[in-house]
Amino acid sequence: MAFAALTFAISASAADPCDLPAANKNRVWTIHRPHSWLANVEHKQYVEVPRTWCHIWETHGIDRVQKAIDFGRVFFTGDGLHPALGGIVPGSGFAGGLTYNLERASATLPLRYAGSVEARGSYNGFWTAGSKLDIWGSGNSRNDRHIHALLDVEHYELPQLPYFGLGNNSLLANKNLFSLAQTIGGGNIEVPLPAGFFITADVTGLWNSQLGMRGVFSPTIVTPANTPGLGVDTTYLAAGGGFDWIYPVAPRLKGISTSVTTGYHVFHAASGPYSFRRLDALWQSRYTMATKKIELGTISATVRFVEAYAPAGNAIPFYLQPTIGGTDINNVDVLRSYADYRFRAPNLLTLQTEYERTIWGPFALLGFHDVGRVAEQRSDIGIVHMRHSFGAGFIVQVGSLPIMKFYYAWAGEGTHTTYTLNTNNFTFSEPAGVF
Amino acid sequence: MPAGSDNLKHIVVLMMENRSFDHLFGYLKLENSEIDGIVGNDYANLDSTGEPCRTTDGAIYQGQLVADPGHDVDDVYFQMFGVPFGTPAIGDPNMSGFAQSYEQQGGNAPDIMRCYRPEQVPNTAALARHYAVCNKWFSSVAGPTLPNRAFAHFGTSFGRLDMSPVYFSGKPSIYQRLREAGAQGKIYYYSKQSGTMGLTFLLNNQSDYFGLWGDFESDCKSDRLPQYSYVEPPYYDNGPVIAADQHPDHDVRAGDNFIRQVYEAIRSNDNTWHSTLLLVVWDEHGGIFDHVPPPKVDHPDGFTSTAPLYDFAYYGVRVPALAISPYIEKGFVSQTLFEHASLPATATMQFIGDPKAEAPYERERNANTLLELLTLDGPRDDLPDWSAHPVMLDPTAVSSSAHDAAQLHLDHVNEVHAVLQQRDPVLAATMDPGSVKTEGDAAQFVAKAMAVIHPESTEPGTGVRP
Repeated sequence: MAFAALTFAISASAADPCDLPAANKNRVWTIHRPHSWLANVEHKQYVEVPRTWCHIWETHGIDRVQKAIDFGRVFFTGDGLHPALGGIVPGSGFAGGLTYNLERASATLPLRYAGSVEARGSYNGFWTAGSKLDIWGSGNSRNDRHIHALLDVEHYELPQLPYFGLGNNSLLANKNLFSLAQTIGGGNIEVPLPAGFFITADVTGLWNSQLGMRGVFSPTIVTPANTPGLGVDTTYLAAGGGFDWIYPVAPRLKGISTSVTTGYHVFHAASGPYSFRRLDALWQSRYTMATKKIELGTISATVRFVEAYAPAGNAIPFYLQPTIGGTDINNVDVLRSYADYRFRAPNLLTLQTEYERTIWGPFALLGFHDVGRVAEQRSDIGIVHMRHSFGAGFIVQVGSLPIMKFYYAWAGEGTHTTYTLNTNNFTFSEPAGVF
Repeated sequence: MPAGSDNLKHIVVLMMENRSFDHLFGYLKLENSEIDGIVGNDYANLDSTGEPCRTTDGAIYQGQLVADPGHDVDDVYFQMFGVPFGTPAIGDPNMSGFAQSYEQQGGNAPDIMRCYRPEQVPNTAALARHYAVCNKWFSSVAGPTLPNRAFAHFGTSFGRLDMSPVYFSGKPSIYQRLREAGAQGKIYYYSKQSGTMGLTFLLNNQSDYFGLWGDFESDCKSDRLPQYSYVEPPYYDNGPVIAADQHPDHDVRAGDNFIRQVYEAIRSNDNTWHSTLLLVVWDEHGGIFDHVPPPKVDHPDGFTSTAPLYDFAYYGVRVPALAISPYIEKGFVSQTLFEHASLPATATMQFIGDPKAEAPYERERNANTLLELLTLDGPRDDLPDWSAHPVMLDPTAVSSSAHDAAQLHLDHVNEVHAVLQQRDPVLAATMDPGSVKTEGDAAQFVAKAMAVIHPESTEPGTGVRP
């Protein structure tokens, strides 16, 4: 018995070159105790970042790829302070900053929290800062379905967003740039109901500051008459809610899955004739095909419908109207061969089909066809005069979360190559286009 | 073969996360003295100030283990042997380093010794009372999640101790072996987000090996379960679903309810129920105290780790485990030694052939199978009493604080004394191993000696009785 124990001890006494420095750091840390658990979060990162980096270089082949993913996970995600990389909104350019993430569960209340504080800036003057807090009810639930709420406060400085005029027939050549500063504070709650239904509700304060246009082609084309809210600051209290539905309630690997999201919101302007109401509906369906041994990929279809109504004497500020074309301010891709923010109007209808297939590890191929249109009048919404795009690309995903997308799209007004990247899964919700 | 195994067509494994036997099941000893648990205040570790932290109740559902207790190989070594990784241990594990290990993680030392009362986990406790508790199920590796789960999938971790799953690729898992034998095995993730990190590398693009929670429910209801199913609980808070894996600091109630959901899914079809063995087991102890020293591995598989150097000489810390089947006697307590390699070994024995001939790796070849628990000739359909309030036994009547020391303890005392004679002959002369009669005597003897043998390490505590 003694011999075996000694063998165990001796073999354990020599650590590998990556683990030995980590062990020494831990030993020093232990001597200078006690530490708060918060301080320990940072210590763990201080130890694990160099350790996981070291492990990359002592491996080869696929093992090295996996070790690199390990390093990325430690470096960019989890509790503690991390660098944050990726764009802020389309056109912001590559942005970098810092984020602090923390998950916590209450010992006295049936609540769980995931919080994030983040600040990012890009080389061309875009920046954002704020925080958000996810809250889950964690009481006794036989089927593990819980109330989920989100509180967030965010500020965005977006100095040069493209604007091509309103409507489905705006011209690419009429591109102007406008700046927008926006502060959002509010919260929403999602309550699960039986049979896959949810009821949602939200209240948000919204402050917008917009300094007018900087014309690239002809500033005289954009006037207060055809661009509501031009140069006007607005303050809103927005409230609303909706019903969502998912099928099947318990996720399945193959076959069809569907989700429907609906929302109705009232935007009450604190001053000026800018109050309005908006109805949003999003239908998504996915069909995953597979033979007995091989996954053949997933086909998905998405339909989005937005309809807005302004009471007599009111108008919807152009910067709160949704866009299609390239990627919108929420980082949603529609009509991907067009320029970002290309078509803007209060109402829209889009239909998208995508095919996605995992080819190796975290890499998946993507093919898509988008059609859609915007309309200044509600009566113009329909499946006529739709614009369309085709495209292909690839996605890098960890778990099922895409962290990077790259695609090439064509049709419409030419081609458009785009990449998106985000290292922080706890990143902010969205700026104005969230509505 | 046991009678019930003739009817066994399906084995379902639900592997939860990071709780020790004492922590979840310990207080069941007050209902059934065969269960090797605790009665409260009967074991202790010393914290860094020398204060004893005793096993007590008072574990709460969440918010108590805010700092994740250490469970990498270096943490577990310290927990088991009471000396830092890299320091030669004397003798067998004494389970003395949990409190100080948790302090290293920034945690509150007494919290690592806290345990749940059965009424706090009513579904798990009801199943434990109604079916079988495995008293001696040890995690396969004294380390973290993935190498332990690798033992469930492959019967070995291929000498790995780390959390990079790439080493699974191309290795003969129980799922592939079942297919080659004309049977089927499947891993049911709760959702796509919930797949154990990177395990899709395991069987990439072979969708027939995978399903999600909805598929499991459907397969149970329609009696289409494969021969072997491995269910993964939700690991993350996501949308309306919160993590139900019981990993600290996830809400233990969510896991308790999920265990019942799995059980009820199987019971949704009588044919499924009458032909299924459900095994609920935790992957490792997660750094939480357990009082039973893991034994040495009798049949090592020949793999060793080089980074860090490690020879897999001992099993990991004991974990809770339930065996549930209509062919299991009510309230049975198994004394057989199981480890995670017992899972593929059981599937191999039932659906392929004798593991001694059919299993590819030594640990699985020699692992005990769960089939011996299926002793009833016919199925029983009585339901667990989910709201039971059983009569507790008198703690003093079931306490073994004055039990005679086992040979394991006496061996340990003699080994420690031999080392002490070299380090401090004067003190050694004052300590007589022959005077050790009870477990408590052994604990005090070892603690006193270790304080001299390893003065440079943190103050040794004792995992046996103070």
